[in-house]
Amino acid sequence: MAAMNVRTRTALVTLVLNTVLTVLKFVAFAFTGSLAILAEAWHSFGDIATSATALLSVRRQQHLDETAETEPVVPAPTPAPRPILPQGADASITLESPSPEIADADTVDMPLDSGEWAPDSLEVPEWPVGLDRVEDGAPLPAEESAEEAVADGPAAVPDSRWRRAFTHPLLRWLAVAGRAVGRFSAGVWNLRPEQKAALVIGLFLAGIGIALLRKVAGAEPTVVERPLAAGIGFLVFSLASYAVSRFELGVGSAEGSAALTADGMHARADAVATLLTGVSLILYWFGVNIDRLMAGVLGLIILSFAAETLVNLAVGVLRREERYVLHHRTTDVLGALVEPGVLVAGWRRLSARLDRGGAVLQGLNRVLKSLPYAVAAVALLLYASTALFTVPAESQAMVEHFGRVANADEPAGPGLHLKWPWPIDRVERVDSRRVRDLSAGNSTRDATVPMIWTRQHGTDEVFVSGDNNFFYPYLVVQYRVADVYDYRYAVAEPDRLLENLVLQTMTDVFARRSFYGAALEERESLGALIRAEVQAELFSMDTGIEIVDLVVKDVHPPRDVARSFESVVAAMQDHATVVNQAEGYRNLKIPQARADAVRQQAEAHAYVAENKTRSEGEASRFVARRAAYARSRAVTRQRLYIDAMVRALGGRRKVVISPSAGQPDLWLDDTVSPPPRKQRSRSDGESKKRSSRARN
Amino acid sequence: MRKLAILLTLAVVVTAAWTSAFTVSEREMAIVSLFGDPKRIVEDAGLEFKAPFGIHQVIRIDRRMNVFETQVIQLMLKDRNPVIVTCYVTWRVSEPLAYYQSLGDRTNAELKLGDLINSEMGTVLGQYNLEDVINTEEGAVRLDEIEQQLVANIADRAASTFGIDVARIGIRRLGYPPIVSKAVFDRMKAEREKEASRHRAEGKEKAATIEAETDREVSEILATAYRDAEVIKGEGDSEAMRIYADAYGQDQEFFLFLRSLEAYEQVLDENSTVVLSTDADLFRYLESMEGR
Repeated sequence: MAAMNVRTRTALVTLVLNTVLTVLKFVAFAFTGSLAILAEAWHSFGDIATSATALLSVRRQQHLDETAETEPVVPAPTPAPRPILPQGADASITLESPSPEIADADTVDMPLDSGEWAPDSLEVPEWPVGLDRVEDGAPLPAEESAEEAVADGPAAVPDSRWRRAFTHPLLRWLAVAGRAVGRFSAGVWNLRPEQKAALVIGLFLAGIGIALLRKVAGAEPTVVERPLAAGIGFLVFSLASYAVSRFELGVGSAEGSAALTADGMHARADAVATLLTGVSLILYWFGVNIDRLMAGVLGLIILSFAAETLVNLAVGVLRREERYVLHHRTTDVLGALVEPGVLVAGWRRLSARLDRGGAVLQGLNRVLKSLPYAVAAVALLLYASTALFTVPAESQAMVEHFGRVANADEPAGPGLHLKWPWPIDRVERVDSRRVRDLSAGNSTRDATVPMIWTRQHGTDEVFVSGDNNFFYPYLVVQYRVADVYDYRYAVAEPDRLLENLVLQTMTDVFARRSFYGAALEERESLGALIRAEVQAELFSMDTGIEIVDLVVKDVHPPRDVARSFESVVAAMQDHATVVNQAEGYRNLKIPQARADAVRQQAEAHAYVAENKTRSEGEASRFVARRAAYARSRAVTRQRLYIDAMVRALGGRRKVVISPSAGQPDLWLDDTVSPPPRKQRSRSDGESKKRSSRARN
Repeated sequence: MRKLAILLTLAVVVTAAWTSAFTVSEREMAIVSLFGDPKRIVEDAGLEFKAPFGIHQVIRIDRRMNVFETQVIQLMLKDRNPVIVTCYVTWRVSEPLAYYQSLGDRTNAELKLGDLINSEMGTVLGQYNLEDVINTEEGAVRLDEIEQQLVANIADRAASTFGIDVARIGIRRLGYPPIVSKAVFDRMKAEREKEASRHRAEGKEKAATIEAETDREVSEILATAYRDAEVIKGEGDSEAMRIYADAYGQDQEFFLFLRSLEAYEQVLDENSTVVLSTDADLFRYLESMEGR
């Protein structure tokens, strides 16, 4: 009883010490940021977790032993924590030694004897159904039992059709899979506490190991703060770990506890890991950064721990062992690998076995024997290949011979070239033949955006013109590397310098010009001007850049004002419209007037012609009549007179007065007053005759 | 065990050899220090040797021309005009040790230089008016002068304090603060609108001129045409008169007689009432068969 207490106490003390060390390591990580320290801290955490599991295991076994000792008379020991074992398999398993020592060491050579469990697990399991299992006291997941009832209980399904349906291969396969899942979950459920703990720890460590390795692979070179202090601290931690290991080993050998001895050995290995971490930190202080390497190694160790835990757990469960036992220790496996004798012996054994085999295996043996030479040859070839280098078609390359550029004036062109091998010569390639481009001002990379004044289509970088107006120029510079040496060795960021030069020149040039000057009149010449100025600066500053082309792609007013600019254009249009309308009026009126003029003239001519013709006609008629008149003057004269009188007076109202009749009272006569037209119009002549008759 | 010792020795020797040589590239300079105490400055590229295992440490410093942009800053010009200025600065390390001790790295160098330049910029720009910065007149813009003055004011301090050679300071962007920008926008808008109204008014003026001119031309054409027509008619009339005169002049009495007869026919219409005497020639036989 006392011995057990000593063991337990020792294990507890170790646990506490290790916990303190682990916490300190995490704190150290917070202060330094070293990946190696982080990895080492997790490594220690893994150790504690395994130690705790071991302790738990020891304690539990003690308890079992004690109960077995105190109550030896119990006839039917139905061990409650063994529900996963089928009855058939129960007998075939001989429990491993129930001693509290953790079985270890010799298991290295032991092959994984899977014979005991493999057939059982691969067969369709023959679970005891129904009540049997309930008696076992293992609660199984509900869905599993239901499935089982359907698949395995043909009695419940009397109809043969139903039966056929349920014996369908797919269903049967489903049932088997369901049972396997159920068995696995039941298995996990029924694991003993320390086995569960081991499972959790194994999975957790695996996760941490993977996360660490990813961090190591993806991280940028870490910056470690206070490396010297941390390094010295880790040397102290290492000493502490060593002390713990001595303590454990001492108690272990005194008490004859294999578990403690094993743990002590492990603690000694950990002390070495801590020591290495400390050394890496001190090396960092000297300027040698192996922080990531160290973190990677520790990450691998943590992963190996996880693998160790999980593999041993799996083996233990499959062998139906009562406790969590470490059969295979990574350290042992690794130790065997490091021991040259073991390796040589193994190699010889393998070789001999291969030679005993068939032709293929013998051939394989020969290949294996020549493998070291092949590896050496490949390594040599790889090294020799560093004396060659290629330059792609668009590039030129310079060779640094111990840092000094050997061919500054004649950079190597495309093709295959020779150089001194690593680490003497280094190659610096520049894709100097590629035309690069740079956008400055209100630039946009998106070619699908329309460059419309009133819509935003760029970076909105405003410039000020000489007449204090704002505007957005957009320049595109195409350039390439003319001097690769200057481009790489004279200026740190030539492209950035180019951008700044272009912007400076733009600011300066536009500050001297009016908006319209820049936007309209000088737009073309501005490009050439800026290009010349920038190129001169580039040359004087040894940038090695040559401008291929510089285009003023766009110059426009600010977006808010653009509408006003457009309204000016609209006003110009209005102007033109009104003027055009006036022109239209003019074009209508003038020809009309001209036509009128022509018509008047024509009418005048017509009038003249008519008059003249008529006068001529009348004149001739007069002449002709006079001639006739001259021949018989009196008669003609009288005839003419009388005819004319008839025509003139015929049908007219007349009052004929004889002078001898005295003065008539003319005005009272109704005949003189105008006749009422309606009734007299036809009888005019009669009335005249009547009146004249009446008068006469 | 002996093999292990040999292996370890070999490892130590190789590490020593590896750590005692270093190369300096043409783009950098190196400071060799003994446990932090600077001992030697390597300015030329090539293969160099030092004590192994980090006894001597190598600090590499870029010797190339660097460029960075200063923080955007708003300043007041002499005439109280606020402007926003961004500069770029090109610089290189001239004294590696002074540079390393005072600044250490590029980020820090750019921070310190930027502060220095922005504070100096207030002083320098405070001596210039807006018309020295933007102006359409030939030779009135003095940006070059401002830049050179900035470099001159800073170069000595940068060289002595930081071991840095400031090669150039260039004004990269000039702008106005938002409220001034808005004022400028509004002014530009007003100018544009003025321009637009001018165009419209000019259009109307021109149109009115054209129309008036058209009307005048039309009247002129019509008047001319009337005059011409009258002239033509007059000439025609005179011709006709001459013809009549020629013909009728041959027997004036007969013409008179004929024309009178025609006139009577034309003059007397249906509504006329003629009062006649029986003494008229027409009625010669009215009262006596023998006539009078």
